[in-house]
Amino acid sequence: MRYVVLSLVRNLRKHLSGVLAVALTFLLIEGQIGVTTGLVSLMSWPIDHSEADIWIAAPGTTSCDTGGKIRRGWENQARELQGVAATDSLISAYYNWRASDDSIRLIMVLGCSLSQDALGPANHLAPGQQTLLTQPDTVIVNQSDQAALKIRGIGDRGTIGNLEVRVVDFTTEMPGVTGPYVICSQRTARRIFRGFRERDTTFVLVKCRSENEIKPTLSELEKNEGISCFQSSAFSLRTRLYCLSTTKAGIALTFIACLGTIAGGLVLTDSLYTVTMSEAKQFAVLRALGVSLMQLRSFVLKQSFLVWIAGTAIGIILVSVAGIISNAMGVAFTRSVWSLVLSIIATSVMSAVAGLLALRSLSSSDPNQLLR
Amino acid sequence: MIAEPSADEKPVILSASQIAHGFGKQGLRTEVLRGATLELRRGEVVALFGVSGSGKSTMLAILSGLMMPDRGTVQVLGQDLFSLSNRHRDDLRRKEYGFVFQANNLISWLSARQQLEMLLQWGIGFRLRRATMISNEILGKLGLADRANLLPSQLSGGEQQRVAIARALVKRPSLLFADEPTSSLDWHNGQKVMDLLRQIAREDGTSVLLSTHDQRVREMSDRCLYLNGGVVQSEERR
Repeated sequence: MRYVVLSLVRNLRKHLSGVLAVALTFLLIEGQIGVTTGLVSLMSWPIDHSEADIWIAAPGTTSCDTGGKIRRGWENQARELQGVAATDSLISAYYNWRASDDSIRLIMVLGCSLSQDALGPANHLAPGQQTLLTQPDTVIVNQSDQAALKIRGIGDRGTIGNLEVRVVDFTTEMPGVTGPYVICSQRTARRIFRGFRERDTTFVLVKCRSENEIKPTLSELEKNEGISCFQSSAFSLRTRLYCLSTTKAGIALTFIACLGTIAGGLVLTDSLYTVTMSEAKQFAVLRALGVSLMQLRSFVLKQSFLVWIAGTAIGIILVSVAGIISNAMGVAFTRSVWSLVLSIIATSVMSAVAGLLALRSLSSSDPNQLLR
Repeated sequence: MIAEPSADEKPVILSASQIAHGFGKQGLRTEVLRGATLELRRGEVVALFGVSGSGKSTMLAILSGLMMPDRGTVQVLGQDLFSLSNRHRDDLRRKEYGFVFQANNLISWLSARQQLEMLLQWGIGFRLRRATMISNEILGKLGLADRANLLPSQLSGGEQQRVAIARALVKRPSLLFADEPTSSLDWHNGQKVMDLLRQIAREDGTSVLLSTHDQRVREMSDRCLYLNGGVVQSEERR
């Protein structure tokens, strides 16, 4: 290992490209995963910001923005189960927002209960905001969507479907991906969704008495026909995967992430290969002087390993800095242990492949070629 | 007092017989060696002369076991070099052979001492402490003790070539092959290198075979062989 360290320290300029390639590939993978999961997590925002343990939806529901109509009576049926502490309902659907200048934008309307014990995402609004939404035909939108919806300020109006609504406040809690979230009372939502009667809803939300009650309650509910039941965490994941695998935005994100990773891998492999090739003559001398090919192979692989270690260390620092900057800019950038592990595994595999490919260059270090 | 044996009384440690070798295929084939024969005795410095393309380097590559000839045999220390398995040939090369190349090809990121230590550690399996001791001894003998910690880029051309020689000698080989060892040096440094090779041959009994077209080397070799038309055409004793 002594000579491997010496080769890296004294030949830093040559190896720097390899170290930076690992670091930037690491940053690229972490960035792709962070931004992708950050964006995708916005898709499941209503689930992740509700108090519900179980979601009841129409059969075949694939995500929280594709729910069909179900009977609100499921709320009462669920409440009769032993493990259930509370129930609620949520009405949601995509609609067009027509601004005052007649421009149209797709939005996701969330019609929530506004009571103290409500389970829906309106819980995350300030108490005063919930009171504001009790006024008829009022909505709250996310501050960052103000420009997209052409809202000049509080009191401004827009039209959802055929209903003119008034913006009573802004929040910073509901960033949307496919369309801005617009939150309102269930009464307002029913006036927007004209086909929705009092007895209809999109989701029934169930809160269990304890965590231990979730599985048995879910099993009980799954025995019923005409509905789909999900544990919140599973529904959140299902929503994210649906977004990634089905929506064009999700597919594009996944494709870009894979492309970025492959590009990073190629740069990394090429850098390490080039460094080894540049030492082929010196390796040939060592072979002529009796150093075995096995020892030289071990040297090249250890070199790749140390380049990977140094690159990964720099990569982790870069990811932390990027995370701080992106969060300060309001860009969704999620960092997690599993994404870190995945990035480490990915770059280590790339470094190992690069090292193995570099071994091939040793075959060109034939000592015979030194005699001209 | 026992008289030093004459050149002819010294044991033969390498003999090559009827070496033939060519490059290329069919119509484009060039026969470089066409039955070259030579002997190398213990402790002598033999210069192999020839014009460019005469086959000096090919001969050196064959004699050192780096290249297999199309025909002919090479006996080294009583063993038929090309009857040995690759592993045994590599072992023989590791234990008995040293090389100095035209371009010294020193490892840029190792100091003069580390060049030698690496070879002793990797090539023979010595521990660092022992490798350092031997390396210092060799560098001292070659007048490089005060240059031991310098990198190749901090050494002059002549010093670099002497470090390359030290590296070739550190395992105390029986045979030292040198390909144009003086061609990239000025006469002063070239002379120093030749003095060194003669000293090694005399004191350690190492046999030195060098390929060269540098006529200045003639005076400093025990024997000169002239390669022409793929065979050793003439021999000159000094």
